[in-house]
Amino acid sequence: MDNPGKQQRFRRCFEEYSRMVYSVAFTMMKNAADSNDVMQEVFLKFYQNMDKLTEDSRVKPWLITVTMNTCRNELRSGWFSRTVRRDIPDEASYDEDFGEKSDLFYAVMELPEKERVPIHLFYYEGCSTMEIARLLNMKESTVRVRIMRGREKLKKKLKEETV
Amino acid sequence: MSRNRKYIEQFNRNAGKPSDFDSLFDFEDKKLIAKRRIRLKSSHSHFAAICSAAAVIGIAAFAALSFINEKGMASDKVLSKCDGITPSADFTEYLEEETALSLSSLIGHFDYYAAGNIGETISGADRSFFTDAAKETFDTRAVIRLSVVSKFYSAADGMVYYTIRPLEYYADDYFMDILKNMPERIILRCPVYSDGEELQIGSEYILPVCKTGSDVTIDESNGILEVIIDSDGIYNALRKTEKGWLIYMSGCGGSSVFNKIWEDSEWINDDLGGSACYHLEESDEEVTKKLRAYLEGINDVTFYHAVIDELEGSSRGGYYNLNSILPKAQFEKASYGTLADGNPDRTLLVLDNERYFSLMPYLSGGVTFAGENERGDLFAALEITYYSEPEAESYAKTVLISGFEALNVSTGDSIDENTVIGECNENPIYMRFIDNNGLPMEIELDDNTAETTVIMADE
Repeated sequence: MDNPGKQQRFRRCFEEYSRMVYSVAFTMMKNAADSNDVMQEVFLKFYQNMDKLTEDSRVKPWLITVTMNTCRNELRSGWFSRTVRRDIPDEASYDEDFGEKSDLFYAVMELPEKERVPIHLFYYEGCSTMEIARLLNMKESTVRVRIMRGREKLKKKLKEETV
Repeated sequence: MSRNRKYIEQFNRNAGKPSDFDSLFDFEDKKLIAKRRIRLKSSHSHFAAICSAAAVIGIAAFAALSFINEKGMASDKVLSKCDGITPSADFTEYLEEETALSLSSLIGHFDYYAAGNIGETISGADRSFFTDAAKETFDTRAVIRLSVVSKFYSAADGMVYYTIRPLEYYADDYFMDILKNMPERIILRCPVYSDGEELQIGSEYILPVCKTGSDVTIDESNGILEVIIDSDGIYNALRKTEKGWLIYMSGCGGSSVFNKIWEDSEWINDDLGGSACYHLEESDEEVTKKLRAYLEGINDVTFYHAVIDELEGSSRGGYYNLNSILPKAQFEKASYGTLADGNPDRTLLVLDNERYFSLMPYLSGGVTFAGENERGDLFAALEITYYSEPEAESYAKTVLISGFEALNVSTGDSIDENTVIGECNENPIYMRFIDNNGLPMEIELDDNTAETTVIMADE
């Protein structure tokens, strides 16, 4: 692919997928600053691998997988563990409430990762359980159970808060 | 349609917005430039203020950005990251300049060459060298082709200890310095995974060892020289099968080694549980060719290459992952008790009143561990207590059960007949029996009775 063509494709993919990459990163990192850092790194890797990802159908799953792996590496890295993390981010505030309830959002963010990520991919990205199974390298039945369990926990939590 | 409008609205409102393209990237002279993001010092954060600078991205140099990001103005502490590597330029003097740093200028001063003793042999192996002239990735430390000799489960720390036999490796200076000491044993230490991801005894793998996510230590506490590699990277391992070399999707995206070599791969089902994965080359030669092409592209790092001669006395054993035996069964609970007919001479591990494991003779037991492993997966380790020690050389001593939705036992509990170990759901249950020597035991499934027995060493 010629360079101008590659640049155009890169920009187009960024415009199309940046929201998705950012949102997946946010479910793992839980703050906007780190999510943007991860997003930048993911798209850098994408640029380096674009010539291999010639089919557009491969791009989305590739990006999601690399995003999650990058988040896990960041969360495991010495830098991250040495830094005291706070739940309140230094950019767009996690806690800001614009006058409307965000109970469902908070409840999802409090789920353990193994349920939070499949639920986000299912309800935000619209991925099928089969797609999620491929992305997370697990059986489809496991994905269904984790979504089901996550929903039960959400129902319970939201019901408790209502009471 | 699975999307949930309420969740989408709340997420978009609270999660902030991704940065736009122009604040993250630019193109200059046909190269992609990643702009460094400004992180401000505040009372809520420990991030230091750093200079904003455009960084030219050549080859995988983004990791270098993180060093600068971490340290603020780069200092000689950056060099401490590069253990075992001697810089050829005086980096410190350059850093005293007060002009804004650009990554391209840093890389120019950061050329270095590995120091090492050329010509030594290790264990009769033959060494050749690759050198390259580009920029370091701060990523790959070594790539090892290995076979798994044995595995040992430690309930105490929730880890699996694989004794591996290296067959071939490409190692950087740091790793090579360790291997030059000719360790008698090389151990790969990984967390126990409840989804059954493990290295199989007797199977051959290609495994990258990276600088982040892996630690390499030398241990002489057992009276022999051991090298221990702590790795969470077995997901990234290439596995050799009759179908050729396989790698899973998570490995492709997570390993810079295999990003290079999985292109043009076919998507197939593997030979174990039917998980989808990428099928790489049939032949060792093709995989090696691609791997070497990748390593040759890593700049400013010397990779020492060695092929290990066949060692005498290496042993291989069989192992059965329960996942391949129990395909899609669903259970409500797992319990530990006696046969339904009241025969006191046999103790069973029961899944949903289905007798899946029968251990003789009647045993009591204790819970040596019940809880989460590093990945947050629930598992329980049960220690079996015999009235009298069996005479067999190898007998079942520990049972690891994972895949629970909830546990009904706690560490230290005593268990006896009809103790319910935990609650299950549609997740597969994985069980591994470990013998009194710390080695895994073979499991044999009797299709007629749906009863599975643990094979004793003298059977």
